[in-house]
Formats: sequence, structure tokens, C-alpha cells
Amino acid sequence: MGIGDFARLADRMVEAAEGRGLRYYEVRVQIDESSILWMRNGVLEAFGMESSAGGSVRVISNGRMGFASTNDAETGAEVVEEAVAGAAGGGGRTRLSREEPVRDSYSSRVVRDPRDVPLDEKIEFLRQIDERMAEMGITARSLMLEDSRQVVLIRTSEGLEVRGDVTRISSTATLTLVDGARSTQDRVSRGGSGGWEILSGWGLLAELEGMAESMKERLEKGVPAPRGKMDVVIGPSVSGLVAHESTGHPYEADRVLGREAAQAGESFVRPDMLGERIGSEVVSVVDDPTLEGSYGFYLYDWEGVRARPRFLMKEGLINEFLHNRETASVFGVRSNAAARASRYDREPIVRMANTYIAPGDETPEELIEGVSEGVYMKRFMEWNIDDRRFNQRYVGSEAYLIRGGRLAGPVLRPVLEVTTPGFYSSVDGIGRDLEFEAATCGKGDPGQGVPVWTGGPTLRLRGVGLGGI
Amino acid sequence: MFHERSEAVAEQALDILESLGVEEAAVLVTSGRRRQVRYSNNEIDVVKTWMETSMTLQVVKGRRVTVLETSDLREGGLRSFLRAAVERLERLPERRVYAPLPDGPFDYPNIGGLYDPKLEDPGSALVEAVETAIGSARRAGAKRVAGSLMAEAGHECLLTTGGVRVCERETRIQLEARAFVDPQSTGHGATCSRSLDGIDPERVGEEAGEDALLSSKGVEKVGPGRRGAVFGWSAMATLLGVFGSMASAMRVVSQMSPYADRLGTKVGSDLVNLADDPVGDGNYGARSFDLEGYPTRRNVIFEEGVLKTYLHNRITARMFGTRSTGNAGWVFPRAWHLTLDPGDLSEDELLEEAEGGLLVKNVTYLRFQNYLSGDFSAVIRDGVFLIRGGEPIAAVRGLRLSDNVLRMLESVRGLTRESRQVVHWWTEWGPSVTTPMMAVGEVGFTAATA
Repeated sequence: MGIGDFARLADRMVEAAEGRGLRYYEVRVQIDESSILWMRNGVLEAFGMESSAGGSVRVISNGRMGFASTNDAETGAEVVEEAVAGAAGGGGRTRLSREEPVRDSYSSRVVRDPRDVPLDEKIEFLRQIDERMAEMGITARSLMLEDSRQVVLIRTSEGLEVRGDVTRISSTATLTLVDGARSTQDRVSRGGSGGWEILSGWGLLAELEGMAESMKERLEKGVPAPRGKMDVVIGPSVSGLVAHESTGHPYEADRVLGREAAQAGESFVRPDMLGERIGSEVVSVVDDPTLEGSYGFYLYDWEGVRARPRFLMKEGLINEFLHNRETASVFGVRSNAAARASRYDREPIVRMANTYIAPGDETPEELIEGVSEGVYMKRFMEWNIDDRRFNQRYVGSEAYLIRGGRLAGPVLRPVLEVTTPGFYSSVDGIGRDLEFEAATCGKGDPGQGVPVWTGGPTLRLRGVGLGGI
Repeated sequence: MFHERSEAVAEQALDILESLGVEEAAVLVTSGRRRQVRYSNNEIDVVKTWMETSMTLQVVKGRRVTVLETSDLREGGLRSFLRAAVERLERLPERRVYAPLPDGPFDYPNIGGLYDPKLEDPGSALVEAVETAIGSARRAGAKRVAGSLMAEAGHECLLTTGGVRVCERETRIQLEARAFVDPQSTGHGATCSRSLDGIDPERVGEEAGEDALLSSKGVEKVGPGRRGAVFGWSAMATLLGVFGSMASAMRVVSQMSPYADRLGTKVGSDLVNLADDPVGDGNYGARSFDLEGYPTRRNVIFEEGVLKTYLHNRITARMFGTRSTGNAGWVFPRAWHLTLDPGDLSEDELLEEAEGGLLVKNVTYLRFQNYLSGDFSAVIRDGVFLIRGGEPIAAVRGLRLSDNVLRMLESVRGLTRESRQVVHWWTEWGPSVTTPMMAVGEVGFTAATA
């Protein structure tokens, strides 16, 4: 994929913006190409290819931002006119933080470009999983495999020019086991940046075999989950989602400031809560776009700011918010490079990349040994969290009773419904088994799905309640 | 400048595909201009304009099927994209169950009220509508208002190798407002239409502001458990989107719908008359053709609670031994515009149906534990009130809707005679809806335990 004609679109937009003497403009061209395979019960239901290419411009005039985009590579000036018209009237409060304009480029490390991998090989990857799951008695198998490449070129009135080129692969499996009137479902997603070679590191088939066994076991032997106050151990799949939902999202500065109030919502975290205790001393949460091979990988954000790890929670204290240049300006800080846009026609807004709870030094077995009566929630299916990111719910799919420090059989649908401070304050043990799961995080209006890793180790929570009705 | 190109570009794609030996294809070209005004904290944050033409296609060669999407419509770009796609297509396995694209041409339904020339160039009307919504919400008691307005004017053309050649002009506008008195006292309003004058920014702002104000007046502690509930307009948009979308036949065969094996059986209460109605004049989601070229039509999904049909494209129809219902998306059959028949109650009478229960104004973040069983939970917000004496008397905080699709449909107890057309940011499951407010007999609510 060459950026070719679209780089010329960028030239024309820059020329038009310069000609208008705009104090600030930001021109971006972005090409996203992807292909996806969906296999259902051994039948290849869909093969799709998508190519999205175009350019956009953002301008700010008297505090109001104007944004316009086009996929017509032959235009340029008209897009700038529309953006300027959008900003007309002013009277807003939009400003940008001052950042060093850089000229640089980066790319993900790709040994074998997924686009060069024959379709037969990709189909075979899915078919092997499907056949094994069918052999293990799984009633319905839905398997997806997607690869994508994203090329971004950003230029601004400040002289910045950054180019990024990232290739990604992901796979999601959703399994259903039906036994008479009873059924259970489970799901796993793996993904990363890089070439076809990264698939072999996922161990997806082995993980799904374990998942299928646990599905059979809980349909055969599962008992209703206990309710009430008890110790709960959660697996990396659950703790990673918690890191994303109840630390990442509420620490997005645009939510803190109310810019997403009507859509994804606001945050229970106020600007003056920086430095306040929100969890126990053993908990730290990091968001790091620079992790090589990660699904949320980038080295410069969509405003051209150099990426770095963001230490959102440090030893239980609220430490840092996620900023783009707009929110950083309000807080009087530098941007920490959290601006992302999913396509050329979306504005860059504050997003996570790879959010994880930092690992500790215990094994999962040691954490479970420390529980006399409780539940081990290894995986989840259902979850949600309120729009202030305060009150959340995770319902276990694979889960076990713990008695005397040992697993004592599967339980059905344990419901962990808990507040964010309630969750983080109850953590007293952290495993060393940090794992990452691939996800697509949704936010913005129109919606923008961006690739992220959710990560965490096994955690032990003391005295939380398991609920449900 | 865009719509003139649509047909020509679609034609060009069909020519390229024919030269590549493709046997069947459906090409949809969408072009137009969309504008959005986003606002928060009573001020406009950004005004956006999109000028776009994009193409989606279904391409078939030897019972091998691929779905494609591209925004690179320069001749060279399109040719190289399609060539690469067809090369890959030839490596796919043949579908065992297949039905060809339909042979047209067809007579398409003549649907009124789909296009309003005022939305081609609305000038300052969009910003003014936003300012009206902010103003009315603040007059009703809100301290802060946030939301967005999206307006679009465009053109869709579908050309197929089956002789289908159909184009439709379309305009849409939607506005939503979320009002705050304090961070937990919120209200929500949403309106949508095919015409500029069809939205009511004053009412949207006012209702959002009133609910936010009432939420701030006093809080009643209500614990988890089962109780009656009335769902408001925004809540219904989310719920109906789920109830209707679960009728997609592809969801059913994938064991991802609680309606599997229930065709012809009584699922909901007698009050549940749910249809997909893409042919209703002025319906926000109305359109005259599906993506395979079939004419759309009104499909009754539930009649007096009995599940009457799944929604089909040509391939799922073949799987089920039936005919397409005109609901072809590119892979999944989909609903276009869901309508729940109204009842005969006023809003006050509906509240009486749920005495001691909750009035829930908005439902968001709905997620399933098991799609096949229908167990789910969702966040409730923007006005959750305890109903006493037939009135919402105090806000209730910290609860979550936790129930089952089948159980909720079975427990519908009343509907208002007033219906509204609604779509909003959280209707992520389904299309726009026309819905009354709904009372449900017993609904599960849970709460955080720590």
C-alpha cells in the first residue's frame, strides 16, 4: 500500500491552509486496510476486505475547532474551507498544549506480512481450531481472523511531520456448548502488532482446549455461585478488563472534563483527585503504547506527540490522566500522547493503548492457597460499567469454588458487582502471570473502535461481595 | 457533486469485476455530505464535515463469496483493490449452501418523506438547533448540557449483475442532549427525523433538563430485587434494538439468539407486536431496497407475542427453506427500522401499572452472559425514579438492569398510545425505532456489593 496520491492530498491541504494564514492547522492522511475471515461451525461464512483511505484537516479559530475530511484524493482546498467554516463563530474554549514539533517515522516489526500469507493457510488456521473444538463436543464455534495495516501521515502548521505504519493481527473465538435446555458460552481474543509470525506465540488452540474442557465441566458439575461477602480471586482475563474499564476510561482527561458526557460518559475522578488513594498499595496500573508487538502499539500519537508509558495508578494513588493536546492545555501539562483516530475521517480523541495492572510476584496457586472460602473467577462473558466508571459488574463464565485454599469444583455465573474504589481497595495479592487480551475499545461520536490490549495478572480480592439475584 | 458520480462509479466497478471473470456482484455506492455539531458544558466543541463517497460490494465467483469495502474510488485504486480481492476470492472454498443474487429489476416501494432538500445545505440551522436544546435544558433546570447533532444528505445507488439498478436520495438528522444538574443527576433526550423540521430541539432539551432536575431533588434507597418497571423513550430504543436484532437468522443459526427454535411459538405477552418497517413514510431507517437488491417490506417479527419470522437475506433464507425478507446486510440479515405497536395507555396510566416499581429513562451498555439463553445486564441512567402514587417521586441510584430477553418480553404489561421515533449513541445493537413507553411486570435489578 502506498500513500502516494494521498500524500499529494496532504500537500494540497497544507498549501490551502497556509494560503489562508491559519494560526493552527493539522493535516492527516490515513490508510487502513484489513481483511477478515469468519468461520462458523466449519463453514467459511465470510471473507471480507476493507480499504479506507482519505485525508482530514483540523483547524482552531477563537477556541472553536473545525474538522473536515474527504476520500477524494483530487481535492484539498475544499476540505480546508469546510473545516474553517466549522470553526467559524469561535467563542469556544479549545486550546492545544505546546509540544515540540518533530519529524520522524516508525513502523511495527513485520517478518511475514499477513497480506502475503495465502488464504488457504489462514483458513487452515481456523479450520484446525474448529475441528478440534467440534471433536471436543462444542456445539457452535464462531471463529474470526483479521489482519490490518494502518499508515498515518500527520503534518501541522508547527512544522511537525510524523509517519506511522503498523500491521496487526487478531483472532477471536466464541464457543457455545448446549446440553438439552442448558447452555454456556465463552470467548477469547488474542491479537498484536507484527506479522503472521506472532500467531504461533499465542497458544490459542491450547487455550481453547482448556476453555472447552471447562465449559463441559461446568455444564456437568456446575453449582450456583455463592453470594455474600467473601474472598475472590480473578484471572488475568478479568483483571485486564478491570484495568481498562475502571482505570483507563475514568482517567481519560476528556471524560474528566465532560467532553464525552452525552456519549460514553464522564468520570467519577475529578481533576483535584490526582494524588488521592483509590486502591491498596500493591496496585499500579500502566497504559503503554510503546510495548513492541502489542495490539495498541504506536510511537507517536495522532497529534504527532512522542508516546511513553503512562503510570495511571501508582501504588494505589491516582497518578496521571490520559491526555491529548486539547485536554493537556486545560490541565496546564504536556500531552502524554493519548490522541488516536480510528480512520482518516475521525477526529483524534483521548484513547487508551495497552492498559494493564502491573504484575506482582506470587503465583496464581499461591494466591488461591491464601483463601479459605471464596471463588476463583478465571474468565468472564458479561460485563458493564456505569458512565462515571464507578459501579461495574463482571459475571464469570469459567469459575470455581475455593475451599481451604484449593479449587473445589465449578460454579455458575458468579456476579462480581462492585465499585471502583471497592475493587482496588480490596486487592491484597498480585500474581506474576501478566497476560494480555486483544480488544477493540469503543468511544467517540461517530464511534471509533481502536485496537487495545487489556492486561493483568491474577489478583486476590479480600472481602468483596458476590451478588446477583 | 457527489451523487452524480455514484451510478457511474458503481457501473465502473461492475465492468472491472466482469473483466475479472466474476459471475455475480452487488455494488452499493454511498455518497454525500454529513455534518456534526458536538457540544459539552453548554458550549460547542467541534463542528465536523465529511464529504465522502464509498463503495461496498458483494462479489461471487463459483459459489465463493466475498464482501468488500473501499473508499479509494480512483480508477487505478479501485481496479487494483478489486483485482486483489478476486485473486483471494478464487482461493476460498465453495459455499455448500448458496443462493444466487436475485434477478431484477424489481418494483420498489414508494416511500414518502425520505428526503428534505433543506438538509443539503442547512447553513446555521444545525448550530441553532444545538443552541436551542442547550437553552431549553438550562431553562428546565440543567446546569450543564452535552450532546451532538448529526445531519446528512446523500445518495445511495445499488447495481447488481442481476439487473438491479436502484438509487435513493436520503436525508437524516438526529439530535441528543444529556443534561446535568450534578454528576449523578442527569436526564437524556433524543430526536431524529428525515427532515430538518422534523426534530424538536426544544422538547429534547426540556425533557432532559426536567429529568436531571427531578433526579437532583431527592434520592430514595431501593435495594436489588425484582420489581415492576416502566421504560422511557431512550431506554426503549436500546431495548428494542436488541429484541429486534436477535431475529437476524444468522444470529439464530450461530446460536447467538434466544429466539432459536422458537418460530411460531408464544414468546412475548399479547402486547408485543414488533415489526421491522423500512417502508413506513418518514421512518428514520426507511429504505426501499436491501443490499442484495430485493425490495424491502414490513416484516412482523412478533404478533401478539408469537414469533412470526426471522429476518433473512437470500442465503439464510435458503438455509431455512424460505424466502428473503428483504433484510440483507452484507453478511448478517439486519433490521432497518423497528416499530413496536403502541398500546392504549397515557403515560400516567402506564406509571400506575408499575406502582412501587421504577421508571427507567435510559438503558446503556447492554451485554450478554449467554446470547442463546438471553441473559444480560445493562446500565440504567439519565433518570431512574421510584414510582409511588402513579408518579416518579425520587431518584434511585446504583442499580443495574439484570434480566433475560425472553422473560422481559413475556412480562410486558402495558404500552403508551404515544409513540416516538428514537435513535441515540447507545443504540449500538440495532437500528432506529418507533416505540411507545413500556411497562414490564417483573424486572431484575442488582446493585454493587462493595
